[in-house]
Amino acid sequence: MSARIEMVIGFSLVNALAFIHCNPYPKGEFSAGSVDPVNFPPPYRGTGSTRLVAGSGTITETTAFINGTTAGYFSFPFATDLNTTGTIPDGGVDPLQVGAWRSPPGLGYVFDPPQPGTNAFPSPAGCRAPDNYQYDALRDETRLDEQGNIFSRLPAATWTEGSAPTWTYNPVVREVVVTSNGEACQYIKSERTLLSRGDVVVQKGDPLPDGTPTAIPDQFYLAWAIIDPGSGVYRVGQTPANSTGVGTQKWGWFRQFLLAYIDGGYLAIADGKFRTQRLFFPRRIGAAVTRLGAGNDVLEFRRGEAGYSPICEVFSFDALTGPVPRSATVINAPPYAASVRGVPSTENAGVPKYTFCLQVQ
Amino acid sequence: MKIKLRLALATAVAILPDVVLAVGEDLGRIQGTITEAQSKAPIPGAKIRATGPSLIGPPRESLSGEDGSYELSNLPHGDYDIELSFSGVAPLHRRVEVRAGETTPLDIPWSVELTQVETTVVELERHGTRPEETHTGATFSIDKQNNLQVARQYQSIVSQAAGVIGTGNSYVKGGASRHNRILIDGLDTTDPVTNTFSANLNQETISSVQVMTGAMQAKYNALGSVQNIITKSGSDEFHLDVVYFVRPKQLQSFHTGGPQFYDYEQPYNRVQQPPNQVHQVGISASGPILRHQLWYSASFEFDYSSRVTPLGPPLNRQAPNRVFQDIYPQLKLTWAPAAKHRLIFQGLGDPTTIDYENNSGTTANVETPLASAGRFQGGWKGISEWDYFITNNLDTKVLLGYSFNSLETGPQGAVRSIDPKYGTYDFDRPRHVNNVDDSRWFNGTSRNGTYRHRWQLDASVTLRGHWLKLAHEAEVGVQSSFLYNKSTTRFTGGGLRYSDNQPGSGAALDQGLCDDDPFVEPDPSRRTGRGCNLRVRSVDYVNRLRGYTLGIYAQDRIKPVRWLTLFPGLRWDISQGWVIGGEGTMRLHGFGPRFGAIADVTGDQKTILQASYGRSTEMVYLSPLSTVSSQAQNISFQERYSNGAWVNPVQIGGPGSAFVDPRPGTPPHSDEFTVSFRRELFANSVGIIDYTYKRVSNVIDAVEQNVIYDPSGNRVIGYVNPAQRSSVIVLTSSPRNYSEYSGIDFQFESRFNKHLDFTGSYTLAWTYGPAYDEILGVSTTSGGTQYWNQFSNPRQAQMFRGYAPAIDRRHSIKTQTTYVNGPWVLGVVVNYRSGIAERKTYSNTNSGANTSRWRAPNGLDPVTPNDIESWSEFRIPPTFLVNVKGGYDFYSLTKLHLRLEAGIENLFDSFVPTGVRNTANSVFGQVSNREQPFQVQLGLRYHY
Repeated sequence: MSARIEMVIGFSLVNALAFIHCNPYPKGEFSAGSVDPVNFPPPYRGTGSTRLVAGSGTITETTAFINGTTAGYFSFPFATDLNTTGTIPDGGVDPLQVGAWRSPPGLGYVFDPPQPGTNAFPSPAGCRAPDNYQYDALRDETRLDEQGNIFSRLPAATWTEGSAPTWTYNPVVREVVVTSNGEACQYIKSERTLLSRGDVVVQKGDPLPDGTPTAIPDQFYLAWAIIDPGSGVYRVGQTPANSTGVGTQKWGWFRQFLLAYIDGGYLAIADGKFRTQRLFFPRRIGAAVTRLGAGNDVLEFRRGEAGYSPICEVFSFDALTGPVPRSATVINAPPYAASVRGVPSTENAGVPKYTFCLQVQ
Repeated sequence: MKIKLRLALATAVAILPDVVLAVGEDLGRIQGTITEAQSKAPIPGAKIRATGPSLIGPPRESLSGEDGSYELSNLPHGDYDIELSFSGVAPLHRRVEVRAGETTPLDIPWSVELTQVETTVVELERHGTRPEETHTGATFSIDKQNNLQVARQYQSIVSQAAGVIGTGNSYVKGGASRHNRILIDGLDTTDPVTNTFSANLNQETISSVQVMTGAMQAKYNALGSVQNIITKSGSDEFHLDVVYFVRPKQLQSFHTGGPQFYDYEQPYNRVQQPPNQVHQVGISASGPILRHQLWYSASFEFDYSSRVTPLGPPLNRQAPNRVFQDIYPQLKLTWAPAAKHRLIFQGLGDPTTIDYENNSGTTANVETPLASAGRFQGGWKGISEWDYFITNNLDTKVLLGYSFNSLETGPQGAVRSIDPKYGTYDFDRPRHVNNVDDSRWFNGTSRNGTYRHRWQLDASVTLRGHWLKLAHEAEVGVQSSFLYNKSTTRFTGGGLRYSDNQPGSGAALDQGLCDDDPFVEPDPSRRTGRGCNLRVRSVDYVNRLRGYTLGIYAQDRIKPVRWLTLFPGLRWDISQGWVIGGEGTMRLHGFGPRFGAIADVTGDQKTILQASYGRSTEMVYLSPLSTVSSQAQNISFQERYSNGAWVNPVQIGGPGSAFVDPRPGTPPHSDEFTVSFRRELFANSVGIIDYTYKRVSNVIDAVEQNVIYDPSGNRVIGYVNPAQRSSVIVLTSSPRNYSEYSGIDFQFESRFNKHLDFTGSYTLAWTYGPAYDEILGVSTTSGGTQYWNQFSNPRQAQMFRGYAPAIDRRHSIKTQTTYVNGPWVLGVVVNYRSGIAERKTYSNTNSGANTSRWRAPNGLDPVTPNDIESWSEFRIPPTFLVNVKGGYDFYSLTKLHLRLEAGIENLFDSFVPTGVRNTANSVFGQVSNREQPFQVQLGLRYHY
């Protein structure tokens, strides 16, 4: 074979090798951007939101009082398939019965919780940040010195023409503890990758018939409300004029998408039921009719107190004379106690018996 | 016999004129070997003589050397008769085609027996293996193009080359639309501001169009292509051409397609076919002024086209026609005062007016005539060339050119004139845009003028000879330019304009316009604030910019052995641009090494294998500086209407809003690897396979410095500098800004017989990466520019990876076939391309900053929200277009070469979409544009 023919063959091989085309799309555990809230139920996109425009709503903390001091809570309703305005249980489903929801809560993979059941957020993070890392809000997509917790389910509603949207989502996840092992912060962005890695420690269950790995949650439930990541979240006293709407929500991942959630802490369970605290609101202040969430709500317990629960049972009362009470103790005493009404009642038409009332730290 | 031949060689060398040239951009050459037919032994001393109608001056002659090789250089493109002769022996005759910038191989086996065969008809030969050129691409003869139904503009001819995407400012093998160099007769005339083409040319001026798409030698420096338009030169023969073309409305198809891909004719739609028509008339003449010494070529073309979009919502009234009128005069003088000198002087112009310039698109139905845009554009070019053929082995070339082009755009009533039936135009009346239906009223935004100058001086020396026991053809040169631009902006309405009605308010058309404008509601007591939403105040400004580029190159063509040619080269470029009287300087410099190797595999110039590597660098052009200077001077205040007053003024632009990186480091550059295999498959037919991988890196773009987005990338939540509540950009070249191209071209070219000529290519290519174009920006209604690139919102950067929108089109087939037999001419052009990558955009809540966001990388549609496994490729459908032209020359009847032509574009009346609405809303995926339907062009051509 002549040198020139060899050269032809050689060049042809080089040509063929070079022509092997590369997939231009991001590979591996890349960030797929923030979740699209287009199908989120309206409460999780915020007030004033337009369904097709992410970040168009605002989520504002409801002013409340606890033992006479100002507090606040983020209110989210139970799923529309759980009747919380009528007599409960409805159709055999008690919203407080653990495991009774038609659509069970998704999993929340919680990285390095210091005290499962009490405190879910590590400080410092167990993951590995880049050397000499400093967060740059202009440049960094996410903080690289933290690891976002990972979720297995997003809120989703169903829209039917002529009807209000319906959904089965409740802002609750079952906790799966993940123990870091020096992996790069924010590298893990999906449940699938998390469960396929050998370095981080997760309690795994039997794989599904198709081989999909599964995890075993512990006994704890967390009130983590997934919201439109673009929506501004405002605490009591904050407005879009004086706040960026960023800082209250936390950031996590769902199948490589960045998501935001409001942390309402662990749910307390007693006798197989989620424990509640009571939420009072005045039906009337003097002669004026008022409503739940109008700025005079009163909660029993503050986040961190033993009786705290992110699920509230709603009661109303009349504040016909004198200053509006700011404490549950006062409301439960005369003269207000006699006017306290639970749900259902004719005086609380349309008010839910239970609602999620997440207090953030 | 051998002694006799050597004697003849010595004698002939002594009598030959010194006109041995390197192959230039506008010239070709013939190269080959004379061998004894039976023994294959080289024959030295054979005399080869070339004559042809394109040749300027006396016939070109050469003698074969010791190894039988010969070369005829400095040949203008055209057909040549070659005569091979020895003293006392009957000559052999051949005829070959020579193309600009290419070497035509012609090996001639000789024997006494062959010379005894009487030859009466010499067939034209075509040898397209290009054994001495590394560059990929094609050269198009205008003679062939005139037999095809291709739009009469060189940009459409360029688009027929393999690897070229789009017409106008095309995308070539991974290069952006600003990465081409546009040459006229070898002189760079690229627009000094935009780095795009700076002029349209009279088609009758053009002789051929050379498109170099890659693997270029060091004298060229382009990240995309080099498009060299070679104009006609006069010769000792007189020629006259007169052409007239018309596209009457009656011979154009018209459709009322619905909005969906599958919607075709709307049978009850009463929209009338608009009165579209096109007329083109041209004349060109060439010949000698002084035979053998001074020649001229002159031409003139006038074009008139009138088009308009059929009426439609929201205005539902027929808009005035877009009327395009231009004249293209040209004069070229070629003077050869002595055998060693050639001087060329040329002047060209393209003044053009466009009335209602946007009315052939979707804007026609949203802009009222008073708010429509008009335009004046065009300019003049002067090009001169001096060729000095010092000795057989040494020649020089000097090119000097000046180019001026201007662009005046603005309201039709200000730039041009407006028919009173559309109302009285008043420059001081503010423009209104109704946000509900996007209708635009009363005025344009501003009157803009830009006046661009480019001075270009190139000089080169070519030296041929034997050094270090190797044959060389070396060239060194310098290419320099000086750039200057002045632009002015005068805002209408005393600087005020209104963006009315919050979307969703329900008010429509002019009933909803803001009545706080005294022109809308003259009575102050009746002004209620109805329709008032946003008001923008702007200030007039002027920009002055200048810059220079300087390139020095050296390249060689070395033949270490007979079958191998090496092409080493190196260039170094430096450039700088300034904002005159303002802040902003950019300086770029870089090296561009080149290397190519060509092997004549079978030793007969019929099987060529080539491998090349090259780096090209991009030097300063004025657009980045113009962007910075404009943004710094274009101070606008955006105010919202609230409770009877305009409140919360937000400054957009102004000093500190834009910068240019003075020393961005590594300049924009491309690294390109090319492997090419070319084989003469049978007589006059060549097959070519070119593989190209190119990475274009450090592409100039705007990098956001101030706007801080929330972690989701949906909302602006703050500013690095809280006092500057708007975007601040720096234009720089980042290594993260790149695009990649990987493509293979299969080309086949054949002159099957003297009647049938075919050129075709199939390209399979991928183009991807975040920098698919340079300085990605779009104008906004508030007057600023939005830069949608990977740096505009860091949280969206990953969405700019993927296939290049509008560019990645994977499969492409282009063929051109002509059949000429006696008076009959038939030409067929076939173009197929597969679907073009698109991208889906989503609205966000930002008003001043980027108002779009992405949810999947370029080229993908995130079909199911939040599921990357559902991301699917998003492309508009393939198109398949066939154009046909037929003609008949009435010479037998009239004794004049009078040809009547009829051309059909879109023969099968293809109605497929060429654009879709890509914003995620209720009309996502609907058709925004369709293929131009079937239309007929009639033409009359007289040739003398």
